[in-house]
Amino acid sequence: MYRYDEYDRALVNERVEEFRDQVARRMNGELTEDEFLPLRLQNGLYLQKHAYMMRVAIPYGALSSDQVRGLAVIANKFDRGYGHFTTRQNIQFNWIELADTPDILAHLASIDMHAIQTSGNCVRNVTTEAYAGVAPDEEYDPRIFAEIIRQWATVNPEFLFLPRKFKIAVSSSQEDRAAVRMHDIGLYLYRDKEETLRFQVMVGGGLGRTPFLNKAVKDDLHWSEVLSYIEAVLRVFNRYGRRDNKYKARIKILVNSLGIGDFREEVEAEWQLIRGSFSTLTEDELSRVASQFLSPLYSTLDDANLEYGHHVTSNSEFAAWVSRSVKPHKVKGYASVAISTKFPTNTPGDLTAEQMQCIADLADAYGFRVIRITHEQNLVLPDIPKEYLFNVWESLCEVGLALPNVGLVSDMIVCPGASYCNLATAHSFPVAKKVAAAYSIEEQLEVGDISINLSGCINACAHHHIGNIGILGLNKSGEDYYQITVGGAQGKDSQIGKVIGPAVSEELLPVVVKNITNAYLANRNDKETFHETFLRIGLEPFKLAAYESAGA
Amino acid sequence: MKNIIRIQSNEVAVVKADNWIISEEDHDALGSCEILPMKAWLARIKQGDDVNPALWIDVDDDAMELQDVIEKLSFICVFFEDFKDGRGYSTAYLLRKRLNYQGELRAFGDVLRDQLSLMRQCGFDSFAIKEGKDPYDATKGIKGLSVTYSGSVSQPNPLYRRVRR
Repeated sequence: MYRYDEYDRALVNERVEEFRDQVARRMNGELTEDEFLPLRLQNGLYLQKHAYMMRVAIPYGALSSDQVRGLAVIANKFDRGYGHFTTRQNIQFNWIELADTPDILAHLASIDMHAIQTSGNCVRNVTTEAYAGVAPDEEYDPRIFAEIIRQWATVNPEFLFLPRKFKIAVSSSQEDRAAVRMHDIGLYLYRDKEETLRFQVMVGGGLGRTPFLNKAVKDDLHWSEVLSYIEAVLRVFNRYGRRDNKYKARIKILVNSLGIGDFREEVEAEWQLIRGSFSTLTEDELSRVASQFLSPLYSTLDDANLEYGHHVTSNSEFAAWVSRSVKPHKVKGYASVAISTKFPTNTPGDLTAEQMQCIADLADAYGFRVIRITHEQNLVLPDIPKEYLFNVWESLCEVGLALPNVGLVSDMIVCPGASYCNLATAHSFPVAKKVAAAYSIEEQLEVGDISINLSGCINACAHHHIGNIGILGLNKSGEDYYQITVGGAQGKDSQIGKVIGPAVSEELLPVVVKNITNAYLANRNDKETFHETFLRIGLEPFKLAAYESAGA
Repeated sequence: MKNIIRIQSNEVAVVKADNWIISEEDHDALGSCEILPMKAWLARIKQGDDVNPALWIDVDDDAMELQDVIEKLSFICVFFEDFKDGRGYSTAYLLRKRLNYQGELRAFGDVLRDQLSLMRQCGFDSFAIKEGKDPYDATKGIKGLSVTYSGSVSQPNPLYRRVRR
């Protein structure tokens, strides 16, 4: 777990005081709203429908129990008792007063957290997967490079007013659980034949109005040159990215207008001029950061635990939860626990202060005081000895967080939508709730693993393009309508979903989604996943089935 | 130009106005203090004219076009049409690092207090603060944060090469 040293702490503390002064100048009229806007955005502060919203970075999704408690304090003291975990490993507080924001940031600084560059046209929070450091299929802990890149990008003076926002994700496992392909820069870290760490660098991903998966620009970048290479990409983007149209300003548009070949040449030419100099990473720096991510001191445990086995066989509710929530761990006798924040008992991504407290307490009691945030808006206790899984489940039951639905239909990824967001064109939460409610848990288990993502507008915060079933909220003459895509997928074989036909009303949406999953059930061979069936049979059968008895 | 802040050997000085004048376009009988747009200045140089060692760079100009003539310049102004457009930062980087420009580098246009430390780190040593803003107040924006992680023009070494952490 990365702990701030005196430099990190000085930076965030000074930044809080700088923003305190800027807020004061805004409130006394010295700063116009136009002048203040990028300053507040780069400190995580949005103005939403009803109030200011503060987005706090959770770098690479890792939190200590003390940090989770600190977030609970903010939820209680400055918000309405809850926070919303997002698809990019941030937490958002929705009901914030401008005058309180410096104190909130000061509180965050006191627990080694910040909201720097969680918005604005700059490099955003660097993300990775929730199981970093504990996944059995991992080659190298991606958090180490995520932290190195985070530091490099934080208040990097040349790249704070880019044409548009810029998102970086790192993954270093067989399976990509960090949605790398939809990032402006996606980094796959691997070991070559000589065991040297190298990156495959992917550039130009992004969803929104024009979705693109990123493309490989460099396959064998030596680890020590990752910062200079990112610098080269950013300088090319800063100089040549479009600034005349917000929707054409992301690097994906530049990559695709130049073509990947020409883009690669531009970056390569820039990189050759800056590489090998000051920004080459040193072994010392790598080991300094890596030493902060050492594994906890695991006990020597048996792989099987009798008591745990007994609970699984004798308690069917516990067994149901285990089958969805308990994930493999690289160390014998341990497991990772995924905690669903979803329907029917919760709102996707939302946790109350009380629930945060409970999770922090569980991490203290059983799990080395660490918690992770997933890009599916769920939480993870990464290091739980199997013998304590039953205790964890019992405690989660008490706060309504023991839902046995991780990875199922009702584990939908949903943005806050028109209930909060200025940008949203349609409601998200209440509509998603109806879709989830259309399925019994038995029906969900029959469908099995599936990703359903619902965004309340074209900006695609819920990543609807890469959901197996993607749902996009639109507004047609005052009414909410939902456009459906099928065939999206995340991971190394990511795909952008295809639109099946006309958008449907809120009322019909659950029927249509169910028709689509029924078409999957009717067509699947043996143990095929939804995506495998889609790849085999194509869009047509889903298209045909979708609107049956929906009258659309 | 008005509302000037200049930094020379770490000393900050405010100058209410100096004699330099930004010219929108080239014309006959240029004054000795007129600053031509980069493209016009380059055209004059190409003709073999004797021009002021000063020019200004527009937001979409490519500073690399000055590659062969950079030693003729001692005063370059970079225009910020909108402070939210960050191209000027890369322009400053290229002038200082790639062309090794040593003269005065001034940001002008939508130049505001809260961006001055960033501009300074990218190589600007002179600022014409936006009209209507108080340049004395703006000097408070020069210092910035005491900790910077990445390298920059003013501090080429990133933090991990500067200190033992």
